[in-house]
Amino acid sequence: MEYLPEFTLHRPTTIEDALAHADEGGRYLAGGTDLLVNTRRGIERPGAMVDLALVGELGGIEDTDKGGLRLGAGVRLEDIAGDARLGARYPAVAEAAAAVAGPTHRRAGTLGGNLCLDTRCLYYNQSEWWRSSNDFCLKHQGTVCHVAPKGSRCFAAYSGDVAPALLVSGAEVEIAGAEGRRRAPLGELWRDDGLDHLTLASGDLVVAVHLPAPIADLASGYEKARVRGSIDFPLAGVALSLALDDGVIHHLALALTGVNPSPRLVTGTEALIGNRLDDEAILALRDLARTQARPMRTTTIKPWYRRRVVGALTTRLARRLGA
Amino acid sequence: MNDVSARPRLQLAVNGERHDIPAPAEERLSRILRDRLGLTGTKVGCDAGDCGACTVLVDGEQVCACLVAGGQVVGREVLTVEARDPVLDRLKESFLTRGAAQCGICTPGMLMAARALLESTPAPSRAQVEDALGGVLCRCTGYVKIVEAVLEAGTISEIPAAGEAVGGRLAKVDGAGKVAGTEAFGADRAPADALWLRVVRSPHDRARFTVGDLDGFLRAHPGLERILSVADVPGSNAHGVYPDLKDQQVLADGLVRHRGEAVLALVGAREAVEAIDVDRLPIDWRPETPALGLAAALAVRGGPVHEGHADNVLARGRLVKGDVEAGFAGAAAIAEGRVETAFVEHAYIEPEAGFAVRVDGAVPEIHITACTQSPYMDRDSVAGIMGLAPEQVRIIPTACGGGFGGKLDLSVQPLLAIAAWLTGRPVRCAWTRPESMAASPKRHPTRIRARLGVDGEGRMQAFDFEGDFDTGAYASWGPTVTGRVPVHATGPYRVAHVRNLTRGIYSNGPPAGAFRGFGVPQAAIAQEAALDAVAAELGLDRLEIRRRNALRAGDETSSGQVLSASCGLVACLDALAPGWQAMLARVDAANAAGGAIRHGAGIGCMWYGCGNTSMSNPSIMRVTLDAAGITLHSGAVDIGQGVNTILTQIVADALRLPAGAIAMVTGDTGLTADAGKTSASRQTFISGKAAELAALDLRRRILSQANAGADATLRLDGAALMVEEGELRRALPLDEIRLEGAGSFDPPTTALDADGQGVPYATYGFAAQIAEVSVDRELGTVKVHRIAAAHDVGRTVNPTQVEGQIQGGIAQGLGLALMEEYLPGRTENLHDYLIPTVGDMPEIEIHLIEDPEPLGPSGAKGIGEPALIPTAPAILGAIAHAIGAPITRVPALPHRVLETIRRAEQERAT
Ligand SMILES: Cc1cc2nc3c(=O)[nH]c(=O)nc-3n(C[C@H](O)[C@H](O)[C@H](O)COP(=O)(O)OP(=O)(O)OC[C@H]3O[C@@H](n4cnc5c(N)ncnc54)[C@H](O)[C@@H]3O)c2cc1C
Ligand code: SF4
Ligand code: FES
Ligand code: FES
Repeated sequence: MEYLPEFTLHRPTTIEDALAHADEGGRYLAGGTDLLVNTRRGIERPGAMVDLALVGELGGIEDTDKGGLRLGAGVRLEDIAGDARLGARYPAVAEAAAAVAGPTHRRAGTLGGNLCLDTRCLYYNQSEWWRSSNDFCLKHQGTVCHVAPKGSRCFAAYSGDVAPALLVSGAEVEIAGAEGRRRAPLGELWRDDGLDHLTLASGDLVVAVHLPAPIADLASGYEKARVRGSIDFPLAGVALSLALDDGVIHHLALALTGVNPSPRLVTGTEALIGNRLDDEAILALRDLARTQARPMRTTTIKPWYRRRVVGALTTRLARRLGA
Repeated sequence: MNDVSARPRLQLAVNGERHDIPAPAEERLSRILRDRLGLTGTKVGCDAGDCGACTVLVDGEQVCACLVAGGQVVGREVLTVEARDPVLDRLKESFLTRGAAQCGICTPGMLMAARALLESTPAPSRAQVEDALGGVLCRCTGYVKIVEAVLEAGTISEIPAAGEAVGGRLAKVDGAGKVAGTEAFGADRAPADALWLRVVRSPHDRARFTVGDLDGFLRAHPGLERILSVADVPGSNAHGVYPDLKDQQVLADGLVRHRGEAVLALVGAREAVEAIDVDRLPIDWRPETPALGLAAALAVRGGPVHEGHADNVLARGRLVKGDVEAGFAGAAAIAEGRVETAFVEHAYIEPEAGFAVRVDGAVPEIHITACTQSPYMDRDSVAGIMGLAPEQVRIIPTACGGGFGGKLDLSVQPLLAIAAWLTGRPVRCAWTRPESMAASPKRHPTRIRARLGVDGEGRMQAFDFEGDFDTGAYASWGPTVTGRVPVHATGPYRVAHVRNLTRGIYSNGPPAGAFRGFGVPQAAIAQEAALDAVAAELGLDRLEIRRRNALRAGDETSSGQVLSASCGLVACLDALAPGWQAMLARVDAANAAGGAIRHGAGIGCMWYGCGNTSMSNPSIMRVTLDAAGITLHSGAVDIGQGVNTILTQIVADALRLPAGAIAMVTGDTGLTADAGKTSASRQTFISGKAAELAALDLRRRILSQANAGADATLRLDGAALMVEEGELRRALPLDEIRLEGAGSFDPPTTALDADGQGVPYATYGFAAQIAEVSVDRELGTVKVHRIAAAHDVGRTVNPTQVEGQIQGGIAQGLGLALMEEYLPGRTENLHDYLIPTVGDMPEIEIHLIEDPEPLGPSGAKGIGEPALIPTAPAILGAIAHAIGAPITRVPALPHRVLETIRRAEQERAT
């Protein structure tokens, strides 16, 4: 299907109204740069969409009393990329937002949409004709996974750029749902399943992301591998935050995107705390990243390449931030 | 609560005007603007957020109109290219005068993205401009002139004062409509009552099929008027570009040979046709084993693709000169270049589109308005398909949003013609991006081996070339490729002993056809790599070895043709030499620092015969003087390359009138004579010459009418043409006069004998390019920093346009070298199929060399294809220089670069 199927468009101004429309089966529509493309391709067929643009509470980047920041889910990626406070306190977040797609997409695309972005796969992000002629796949309308035909899982890759940067910054997510508001570590937003990678209950709305005050001497950054200078989703993306005390690591967090069905905060990094950030430590960090990345044949570029590059990007970031 | 769903209509503010539109809130803005408001300046290239052609401003900020639902912009200000706006006007003027619009299809999107930037940042830096334009793709310009036009908007561009038109930077004569967004492309206009046509395509690479009860299906789908199948083709279902080789089907007759082949066509009301789920159509598919790729095709996997070609070999090309074995026996150094290349998609930003109307008069006619590169060929092919006389078919080309060879073949024309003929109603159609990519021809994938032997001084002694070209399911221009490559395969060098063999192979891939260079760009990769390898073996500088071997006037080519003039390769190399030395020094210095980033420099040369190979390919032009003033009637299609402007300049100078005095009628087969197709870099050289002759002829007639001598001056003065000579002053009132000058030119060539010896082309373009790259040894990514290009164009008719062709060619060459790989059934969209964005472009320096071609108009020859050919060899040579090993599988995607590095390391270790 190449046209946009009919749906009803609601434009609420409050979170309560948004939740009410979602409760009736509406899908949240933020910048639409992911959802409308998927809808037109027939991957999504919502009967109603709930446009979040007029919901005031979702906007704004605000200082919180403890030196942290609250990023509304409706904040546009362009504003995140250009925010001076983020640039100073959490450069990884600003760098990641600036690395998303092209300028039009950053202007329309929101933080909430970026976090809730559908997973991607060469066999999925295609026209209806294309998918039907490839017999569809497990993720939508089909029965087998073309990437791992023997399994019963979907390995479509989560490919948002901003999530790993927020993960290494200790972010929490604020969610509004039928049960009221709740806050949870950001990592709990996803599960490792390409079919159903969000833990949100139906109708749950991401309201904001909260960043704590940065610890002293915190450095952070984001690196992304792609073929072209702009537009492309990450083949692999790596965010790192690091604090050194006289060359000794006293804080370290590493997260990956584009190589697993969900963004992944790399485990095992605590073992390096207390070590010097020398070649050996960087090698250990690189190996952690490589072993926890699980790229599959979901892009035209080979999986071995993406795994290897995760290591290279990690090494590079560690050198850059440690210098 | 603000609930749009309660309202049946949308209130939108577009370009300062309020509209109350009967559109549902979910209709996308691109469609509302184009179809409901008639604002077709906003283009649709992909409908998926990948290309940026639909960029408009919402509250001053750029958005993709294809990604926004109408309901989302209620209460906000939408600005499109049609707006009257001072900043936009400045940008339009700047785009026009600086040649930033070639075909013009990306121009509205570019303008809007730039407008958003200038509003917030009136004096942006280059980086800011590149960033702001990063989401809009252009396939023609290489972005250089677009970035310059934005940077310099508001300053007056230096246009040399009117005088001699040839050699001046005349702005595109047909450019005003492109920057205003009023130019009509294939999908922009159609009669209001036109039916919609949608093609049903094969999902299989090879399959047999039977079609069930279409009448029942038709009855069950109100709004659907007709389903076309092969039985509806009135004339011949077979078509093709050669008179004697018509192997392609309009609609498949029980057998499909490639994915995307047309099977049926649905005709009816647009909504009804679009809503149909094609999986429900009564087609019973029986897929068969396809032959995909050269290896499978040569093994005849699944059986021959076409009857009569048991080995799947469609065509062979051959050129033999001297004794190649003896040549190698005496060589001091021998080296080999190998390369495999992939299908490459033209990826013009305008998908194929148009409409057809049946005109019932004494003799019924079918009129087809569509984007095309070859109106006369279209006319004759459609006539055959329709079973009509050619005179009953009229082809009216729309503006063409990029072609590059891909719009030489028929696309929408035959099905539109059949549908309009049978229904008696106008019928329109616009291919979707995935459809355009699946159904249009490609650049041939190749497997090439080139072996080169040189003497102790690096002089080429023997050259042995074998190339297989995967022509896909149908011949298209395959035989042209296998015929053209042997002539060019040695590169622009003198070689005594040559054996060049090519084969065109049928497979179940998409048809491979014409694409800027007809196989020569692929061949040049292997041939130049071999030259680099022998240079390394002998310790010779890579520019120097090329200079030693370069063809010069008086030399004999490998086809035995003696080049009498216009061989500017040595001049090209000399122009690049200082830059080359500086580049090598920079690269060495950068590499001395060590680290993961390695730098490299590379060089590529090329030659390219202008016009068709050993074939008559005339062009006929007419210039008239009548009540309408002076009009050039040109059948040469301007696909963005600028032939309209070039011809205007040539005609103006031949008449000795200012360019502004010349009006033009173009392309329509009902109004102009045949100028041949726009391909093979032939229009400037051949049609340019015909136009020059026509204008000279008209001038002669004017002078004789006025009884004036040869040196009289002409001047258009209101309603009269003034002829002045000394005391003589004669006014020829325009409404009383009807004069016509005619010119035709067919470049002299001879047939090639069985060994490929003869005069295949009347003249050749020559060029050399050098490239500086850096390779990230850890990520495998390549950044091209600089390219310097020297091109012998004979005579520069319009520097702006020649530069634009070279910059655009470099962008496509860069894509070929680094990122473009069409995988049938995998990359049928513009996010998996990668074409260069503005951020991928290097700094480009251009040297125009003018070694005049005596046959050409004012000495000019072609540039269209030469622009692209040396780029990939130069970039790939630079990568090899940086990493110490050649890339043998193109494009050099990051994983291939890493693989090559790893293999080279292993080889060094053992
Ligand atoms: C050509 C192209 C290139 C791209 N490249 C990149 C890239 O390089 N990197 C990258 O990260 N992204 C890329 N994207 C994807 C997309 O543009 C961004 O991820 C963007 O941030 C998505 O945000 P949005 O507001 O447009 O989301 P939408 O499309 O509006 O929504 C996406 C999903 O999130 C849900 N959603 C949105 N907001 C909320 C909320 N507050 N609570 C709950 N659910 C919500 C929607 O229901 C939907 O399922 C690209 C897109 C295109 C078209
Ligand atoms: S990983 Fe498998 S199941 Fe998931 S989208 Fe790709 S092909 Fe489909
Ligand atoms: S048409 Fe909207 S981005 Fe291509
Ligand atoms: S001028 Fe940009 S696509 Fe043709």
